[in-house]
Amino acid sequence: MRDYSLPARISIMAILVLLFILAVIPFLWTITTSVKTEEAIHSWPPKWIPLPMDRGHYGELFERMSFARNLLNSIIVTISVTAVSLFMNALGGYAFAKFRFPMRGRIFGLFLLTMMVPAQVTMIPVFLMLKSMGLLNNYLGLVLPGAVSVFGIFLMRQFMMSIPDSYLESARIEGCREFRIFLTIVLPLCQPVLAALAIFTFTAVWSDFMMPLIVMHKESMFTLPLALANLSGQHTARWGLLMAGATVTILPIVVIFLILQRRFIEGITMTGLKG
Amino acid sequence: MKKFLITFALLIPLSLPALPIEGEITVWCMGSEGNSIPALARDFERENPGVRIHTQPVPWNGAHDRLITAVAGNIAPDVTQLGTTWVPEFAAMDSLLPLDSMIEQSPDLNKDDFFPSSLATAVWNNTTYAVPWYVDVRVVFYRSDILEQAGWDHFPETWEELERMAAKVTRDLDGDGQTDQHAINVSGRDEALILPFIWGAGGSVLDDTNTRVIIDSPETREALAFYQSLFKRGFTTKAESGQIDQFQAFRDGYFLSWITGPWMVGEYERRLPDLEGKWKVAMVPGKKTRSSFLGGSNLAIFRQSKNPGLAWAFIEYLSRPDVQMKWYQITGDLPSVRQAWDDPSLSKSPTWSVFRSQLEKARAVPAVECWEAMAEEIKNEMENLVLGGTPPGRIAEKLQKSLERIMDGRRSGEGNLARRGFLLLVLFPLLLIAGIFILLYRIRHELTSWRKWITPVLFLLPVLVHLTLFMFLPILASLFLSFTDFDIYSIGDWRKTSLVGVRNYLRLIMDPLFWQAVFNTGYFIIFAGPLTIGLALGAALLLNSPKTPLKGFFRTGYFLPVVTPLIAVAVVWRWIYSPRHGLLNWAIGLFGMPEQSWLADPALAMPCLIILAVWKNFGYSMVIFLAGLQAIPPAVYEAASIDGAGRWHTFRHVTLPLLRPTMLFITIITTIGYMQFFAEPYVMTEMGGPQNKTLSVVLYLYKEGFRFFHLGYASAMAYTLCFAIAVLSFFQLRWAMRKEAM
Repeated sequence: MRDYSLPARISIMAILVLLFILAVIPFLWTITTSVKTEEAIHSWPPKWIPLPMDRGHYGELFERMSFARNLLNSIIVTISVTAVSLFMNALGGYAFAKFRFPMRGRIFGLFLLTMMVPAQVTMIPVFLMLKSMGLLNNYLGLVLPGAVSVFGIFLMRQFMMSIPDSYLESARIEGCREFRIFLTIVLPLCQPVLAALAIFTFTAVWSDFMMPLIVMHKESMFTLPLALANLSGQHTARWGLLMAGATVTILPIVVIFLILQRRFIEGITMTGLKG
Repeated sequence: MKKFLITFALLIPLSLPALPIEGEITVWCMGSEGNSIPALARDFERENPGVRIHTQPVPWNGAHDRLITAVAGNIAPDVTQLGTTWVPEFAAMDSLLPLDSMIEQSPDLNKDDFFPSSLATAVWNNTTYAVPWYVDVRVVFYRSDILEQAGWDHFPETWEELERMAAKVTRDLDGDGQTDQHAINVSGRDEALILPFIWGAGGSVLDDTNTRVIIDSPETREALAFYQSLFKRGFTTKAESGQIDQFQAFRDGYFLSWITGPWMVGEYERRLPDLEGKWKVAMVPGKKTRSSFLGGSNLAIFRQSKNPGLAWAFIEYLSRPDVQMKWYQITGDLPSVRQAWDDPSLSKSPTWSVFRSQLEKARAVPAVECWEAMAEEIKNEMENLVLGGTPPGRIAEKLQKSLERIMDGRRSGEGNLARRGFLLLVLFPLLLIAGIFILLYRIRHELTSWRKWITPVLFLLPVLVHLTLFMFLPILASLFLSFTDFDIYSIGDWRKTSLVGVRNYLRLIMDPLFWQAVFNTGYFIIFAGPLTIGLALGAALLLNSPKTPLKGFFRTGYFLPVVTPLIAVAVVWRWIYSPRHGLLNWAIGLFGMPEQSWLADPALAMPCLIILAVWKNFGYSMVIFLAGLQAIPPAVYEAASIDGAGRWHTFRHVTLPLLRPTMLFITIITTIGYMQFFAEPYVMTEMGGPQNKTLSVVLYLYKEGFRFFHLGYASAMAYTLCFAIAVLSFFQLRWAMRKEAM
């Protein structure tokens, strides 16, 4: 392609920068407000530089409230759901991608159809079931329902279809057992899509509000979004405190994304999502 | 006779074996009470060695849903704090222990100890299900300093006075055409603010027996007209709570008075110390009477409690005047027990005496279990009144009709499910077995070669079992629900459920609110969809051009909103859209544009949510577009360039066609996602306000299902939505394929 002229390049840059500012400004505002003094928060026009800094809001969150515990809950739940669902989805995706069995297409179609069902449809029955299993106020109550995602199966299947059958055949000829083939050949080949799906699941579970709302009834078992909703309910206009809570909820996921973003984008590119 | 009764009453506690006070109970308290109750629990444990009180704080928003799910799930606590309007609902679910006999036998507790309107909130169908714990009553908080300067040494006592005062003090101080000093701050959405006016005019929602709707009366019409005039004449701000910083606004004199609760006394003392002596409280001005809204909380015992003796002892303890006073000192919650008000710290204070006088004249909302649904109607009509400008007479008529419909919808007695249940018990398994047989018959040829497919089935098994349990069975269960009238009565006793055939679906078709939700969802998709996709494609194209520096940096920035939890970014977006001291108003102010009330404005609320959704989601589509663009081989572009194709031509005839599969994927994913549009209005516009302009289908479904617990109706809605999504995706696919073929 030909090069753009200088003015065109400058305007492209300008658009990109403007878009960047719009995308990022709410985060900057959240983080800076969380360390502002009450006086700076209420100053008008708004103050952008949070000086002098005031860490009082964080002190309040972690010492007077249970945000440390909520953070821990979020980490435990998110990591377990991600790990378990990666494995389960890989199993399912593998079955659909590399084997022929009766009704394969229909079962897969049925799975895909459930992606259109709003989560609210299944909520009450799932709640009653978890309750009868005694899993309310229990990490398992979040891990178990989250252990499989149809989207994950779909993603794994798309990717695994691109693995040449010859790899598997040669392993079979060497007498390798099916489950070993899955573990030692297929899974390592799937690393990029596993990474993509891991980040995907991680962000979804970290942000989830509905499931924790119906499963966790004790404040000590709340995840961060629940704790934050709790906080907004109690202190409607204490912006500093709310922003500190929002920062604690946002920051871990942002840091993880920043570290792993290359893998994520590679993963999306390599899954058959492009068509 | 009376003497006899008293002697009798004194004798009973002696003659009955005292309920054992031992063991442990769990107590749920909402909001800030939840954080303060441990102090009293420890005192109680000290007085009664050997008992243990587990306290559990529950956030107010979501508390109602949590309690209902807890009752349905049989994990309810022993004692709970209940909002005053909730007692009838939980009593109707048959989940609360009747307390009349316990109160009669109690040596310390007497029904006369409580304020009558407060006790009325604890009684449903002539049975007492709760004990008032604390009361709150709304009074006027006003800037006495500014009013005095304007010549008012007291707050207006009548509506006429209020009007005169408002006309005088509502002003544009700096001459920019915007009012920056409002006389009052009432809400267009909070029924607690309009009811005092209806009562104050002598009107009422229900008659004294809570059986007949009498809201359409000349008194109500008068009150509605007055309320509307406060907005029409600009006497009140138009911001809802949570959208502006009420403290800052009060300090600045943005509004000079508002009607709010006793908790604000402590808040003002703590957060506006510089305003000390500059504000006072007064009773709500009235027409016939100076009525106000009585709220507060009651304490109730769930039937599921395994230790009602201890639970009752704890409630008795919390009702003791000295403990009530202590509670007041800890939390500022006003005592529900009259004796506690004789304490000098309350009776001698000018502020609290106003509250006491207002308490005697205040009213609570009628104790009917369908109040939440009624309040919802009132809220909707309030918005039509103040934002839509509908004439008061029309509003009163509509309210009369819709509230009557809600009253008629109440049911009692047995449903027909139990009678027809045996049919289902036989039919359902029969169908299931038949289905399995047909399935096996159709694949009978494959069964002989089972070795071939046993491996994939083993791989598939965990997923299959999981999805059956957590997806397919629940989907079937709610399909079944959609043909029943399952609601809160059914949660108490499933036999009250009836099979109603397709009635839920018929009702849905006739429900104007449903169509409003459909319209809103369509509006949202039509604007947010193309905007998201267009912005994503634009950004992807710009990022994809070879000479763009810092690609990764920009990409990261655009993707950031995608990974962050909506509930967290909603906090900052609420502030961005705040009508006062909001970032957006500041930004447009730089260009000299007038302030807007954004989320509170029926015309702007949806565009605000669309912007939020585009901001939150475009990064995802952009990354996928980038992947699609990078998959286009450079040779194609070279060929186009050699053929002399211009930039636009290349894009139109090379890039776009090659991107079609990506485009199709994104369009479908975005449409499905946006059809389930829910979280944005859930957290940003208080469940779909203003005037239901942001009520989406899923949000309406959630409200019907988990607020009012009309699970049957909500399930019917869920299925209709599923169907719509399926049809839409089908046509999108067909359309795309037709294009492909051309």
